[in-house]
This record gives sequence, structure tokens and C-alpha cells, in this order.
Amino acid sequence: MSGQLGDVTVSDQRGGTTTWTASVISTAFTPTAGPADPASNISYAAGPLTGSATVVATAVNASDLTGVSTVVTGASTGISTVTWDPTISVIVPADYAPGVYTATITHSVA
Amino acid sequence: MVAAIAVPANPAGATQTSQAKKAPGGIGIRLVAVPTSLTSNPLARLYIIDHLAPGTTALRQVEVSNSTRATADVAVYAAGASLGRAGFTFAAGRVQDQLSSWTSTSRDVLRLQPGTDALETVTLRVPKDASSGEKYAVVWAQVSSASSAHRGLLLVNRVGIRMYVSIGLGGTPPPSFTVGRLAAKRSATGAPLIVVTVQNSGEGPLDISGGLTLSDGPGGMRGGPYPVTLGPALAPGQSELATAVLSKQVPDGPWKAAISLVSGPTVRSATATLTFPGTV
Repeated sequence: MSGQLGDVTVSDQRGGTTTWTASVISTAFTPTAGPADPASNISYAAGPLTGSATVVATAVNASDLTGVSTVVTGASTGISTVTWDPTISVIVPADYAPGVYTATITHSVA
Repeated sequence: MVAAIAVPANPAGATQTSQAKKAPGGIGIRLVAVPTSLTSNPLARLYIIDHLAPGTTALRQVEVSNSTRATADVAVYAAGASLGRAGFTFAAGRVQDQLSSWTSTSRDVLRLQPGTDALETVTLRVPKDASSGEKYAVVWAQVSSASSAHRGLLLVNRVGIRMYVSIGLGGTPPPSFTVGRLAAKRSATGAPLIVVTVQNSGEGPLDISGGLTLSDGPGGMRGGPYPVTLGPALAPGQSELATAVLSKQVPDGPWKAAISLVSGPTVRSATATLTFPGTV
């Protein structure tokens, strides 16, 4: 199953020649009872990047969010903004019980 | 002196994306002031960069901002980072390294009303027994919120200022690097490229920018300057390939190529006479 997380925007107000890295990590999807679906079954695709003319942004898909994974990098030549609406895909093993699974997905930009 | 990167406080966004197409608000962090001893280093405007002796303390002010329409509780903390083949990478969550464990913020959480900002002091206390060398960390401003689109999903967003701090005695060593021999190549798509190996021979990280010009070409043609691209920051001892991508219309040559690379006060240049390999 997959879904879109909603817009993520990086606005780089530093000016001049700058670079940044955006990375993502996830916990397992954990139900109230029964086995959790590990973060290794979770993938991330940034999809199309829209941004200002002053930035070159590159997306890298991640197929395992167990560790901190770089998903978008940006190189700016001035104040810039980049936006994307990532798609999260979760492989759910066939014998898993239906219900609400909770997880935390963290974006880091620096 | 503006150095901020902002990420939305709540990127899950039915509410945000349905708003008018104005720039969404977010949580931002920027360095407020740079010590005068470091103003010649362009990296010092972007990152917390310093050269400190064991047993000393350094202070920095950062401004944390909330440009969203909601009150935000922003956690401010330092966590680990590393610089390697994959570039500058962040430790997960609040996992610490040496430098981040020496770094503290005056408050753990800032409650920021919509459209406000607050100053925060970052204190770096280097222990007397600290080992020398280059250390990395990040000072993060972090918010979390439940996803409005997906039940059960907690979204954490953090934006940070990288720290590059070298520990040792003596003054700040100037950046130093060597530039190898220029080589003419052609990319998979047929674009002419000029590549050169750059090695960081100094003690601090480099932030190199530069340009390449062509002269004495066929019929006396000239070209450039073309931007030279490198990775974000090159750690001491590491080398990487700097590349200038030229237009496909550039004739094969021969050309006199001149490259000039700058990191802070240090400038290196190299020239060569080159001919691009023919297109297949």
C-alpha cells in the first residue's frame, strides 16, 4: 500500500552558493497487538521536485527507511525553495492483521 | 548574514496544500552572528565552524523561527553527524557523537507563536582531554505533529545548522588543497567534460567553488567561464573529482583550458592543452 505524505518544502534563505541534504528515517509500523512491519519494508519516493530557478535539486529514492537515507539534495546559487510531495510505500506481509499501525517518519534538512 | 532553511511544521497537508498557492510557512533556523576571526571564511556564514583548543568554550547565537499560522513547540538540540564518502550525513534522532555531546542549547524547547522567532545560545565546551581532529554535528530545530492525512502516522521535521569544528592547538589553519591534472572527457550524452581531481591537504573542511575558461581554440575561439561542480564539503585527506560540463556545441579542440578554484582565502589554478574525444 502507498500514500502521499503531503508537501515538504525546503526554503533556503542563506543566499550565495549553498548546498543542503534532506534525509528520511522511519520507525516500524507497529500495531496495538501482533508483529510490527519493519522500516525495511518502507520505501520513499520524492516524486517531482518543483523549485525556484536558483536551485538544482536531485531526488534519490530510498527502498529501506531503517537508517537515515538521503532523499533530496539541493545546490543553490541564491535564496531558493524546493517542494515535493513524497510517496511512502509499505510492503504489508499477507498474514498481517488489519488495524491501525503507528509509525514516526522524520525528515531532516541541513 | 541570513542562514536559514525552513521545513513546514506540518507537511501533512491537506490543510496546507488546500491553502492558496503562497509559500507555506515553516520552522527555520539560522546563524545570527559569526566571530570576526572567521569572517574571511564563507563557510562560517552557513555553518558553525571553528578551530578550538581543548578546554576552551565557544558560543554561537541562532535564531529559531516559526512562520506558520500555528503555535509551535520547537525542540532545539545538538546531535551527531559524520563526513565520509556519502558526504555529510546525520545521525538518527538524538544519537550523540563527541562534538554534539559537548554542545548544549540554553533551552530544550521553545514555544513560538505564529510568525515569531527567538534567539537561542549554543554553547560548545571542549573538554580538556579532547582528542584533536575534525568533528561534526548538527544543531537541530524540530517539530512533530500527527499526520492529518494518515491515521497513526507521526511526522517529525527538523532543520539544522551543521557544525564543523577542528580541535587542536594553535590558530585556525588556512584551507589547503591540491589540484591534479586536467582531463578532457565526454559524458554518456555526448557533452564535453573537463574533470580534475581535488584533494583536501589541509586540516579543515573545504567548500570549493570555481570556474573554467577555454582559450586558443580552433580559429582562436574562446569559451566560458563554465561553473565547476563539486560535492558539498570535502573532508581533510579526501579527494574528489571536480567537473565542468560544457556545451555540446564546443568543438573538439585543441583548447587551452584554465581552471580556478577557491575555498575561503585559498586559490588554486591549473592549465592544460586538451582535445575532447570525438563523438561516437
